Amino acid sequence: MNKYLALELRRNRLHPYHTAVLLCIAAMLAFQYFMAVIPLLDPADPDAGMFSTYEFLIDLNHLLSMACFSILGAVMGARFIVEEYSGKRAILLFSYPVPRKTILCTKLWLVFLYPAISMLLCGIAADGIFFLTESIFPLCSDVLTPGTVLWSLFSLLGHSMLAGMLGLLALWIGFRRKSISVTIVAAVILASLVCQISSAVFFRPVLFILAGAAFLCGTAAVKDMICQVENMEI
Amino acid sequence: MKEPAIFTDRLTKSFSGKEVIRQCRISVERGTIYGLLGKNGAGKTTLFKLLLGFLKPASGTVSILGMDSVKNNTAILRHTGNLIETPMFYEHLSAAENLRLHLAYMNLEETDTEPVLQRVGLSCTGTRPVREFSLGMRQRLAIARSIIHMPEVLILDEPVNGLDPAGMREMRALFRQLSEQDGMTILLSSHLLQEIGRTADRIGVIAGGKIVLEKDTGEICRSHPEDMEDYLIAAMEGGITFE
Repeated sequence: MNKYLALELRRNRLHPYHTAVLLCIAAMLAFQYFMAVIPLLDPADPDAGMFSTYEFLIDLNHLLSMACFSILGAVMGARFIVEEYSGKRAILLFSYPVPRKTILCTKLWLVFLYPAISMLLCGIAADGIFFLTESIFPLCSDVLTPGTVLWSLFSLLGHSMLAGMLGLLALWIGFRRKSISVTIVAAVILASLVCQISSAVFFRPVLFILAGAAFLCGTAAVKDMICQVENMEI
Repeated sequence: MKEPAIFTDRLTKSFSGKEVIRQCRISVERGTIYGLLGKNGAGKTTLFKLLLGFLKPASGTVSILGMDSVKNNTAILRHTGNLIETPMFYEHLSAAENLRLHLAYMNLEETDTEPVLQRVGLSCTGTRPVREFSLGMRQRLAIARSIIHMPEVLILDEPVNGLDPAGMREMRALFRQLSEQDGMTILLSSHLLQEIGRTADRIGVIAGGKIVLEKDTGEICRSHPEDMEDYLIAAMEGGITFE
């Protein structure tokens, strides 16, 4: 699998995705500070109070990052899987003396791991910078505790996995229709849905319930895609 | 008698209820060049896809080197080279990088790409990305990719498409060399009658998804010295039944 993953990376240009990730980290950081500064801009606003807790700031930022990275994963999936298996390029993929399942699984791992790992690393960097500046020049009136930092790591991990899984689910929808635009639209809808549920419930364990549900659905989606590719005629 | 390199028997394939390949029987001897002629839509590409396992037959048998094309697909792909329809490449990579990737998937990383690039006349392309290649250069690269792992069987669908007359002659010489010196079995299709006549040891004509004529090229030349073209066109139109 490692060999085929290396070959995938060799034959696909990841530079645009790296740029997108760097833009995401900048946006995450800017958004984090913007949210933290809201209570200072308008202290009289009664709703501004919720922006003065780290818990809310972290959860909101991770949720929005998850939406961005799941769309990034869907774009990768559309380019590396939907496009490659829809057109004449499929002949090239099917010409290699490698089981179809192996090549597809390699691509699926890439589509899952790239957004998940990059979100995790970006989140660690963005949260790290934010917590560092907060410990020196605090914008937020809340108290920064080791528990808050630990929770932010858990939350980041859960949202990163969720981003990877939502990308795969959107890919599955787009793959069934053999459409790049359907893949991306599906990612936007799925991300919005998860964001709505999370923000409406605002109950922390919901993250793990959603991640678990996404994992189960994602596993079924992957099995279905493997079955489709193994029986595909071109 | 030696087992044929490529063999199909009573092969049938339908799309949306319409039979595209009908009771097709083809036999290609090892180390020979077999030219498949047929009009557009006669079933040449479909037959090639069935041979390589890209399509599954509705009925009948397909075997390459004695292996079933569906059950032993991976093994068949290891021993065959192909060029089907418009060749696809990784456009941002050079010709050599495209070949090295292909070799990596074939588990032949140590193979040098330069000799085969020289063989197809692409040795001067250096680091130039494939997206800058002309149609003829792409076709040459596709041929290079199909032969670089020295397969036992080569299946080429319209291999000289996009090549100029000099390029066609070079490729014809290459195919003869591969067959005579390297013992490769070559099945190629074309609608260029003269090209097939000059390259192939044996000619098959497919019309309406069925092989309607299968003869040695020399035999056709002897029996139709003046009207070979008319004879083959008549066969492609379905006017000649199996002889």
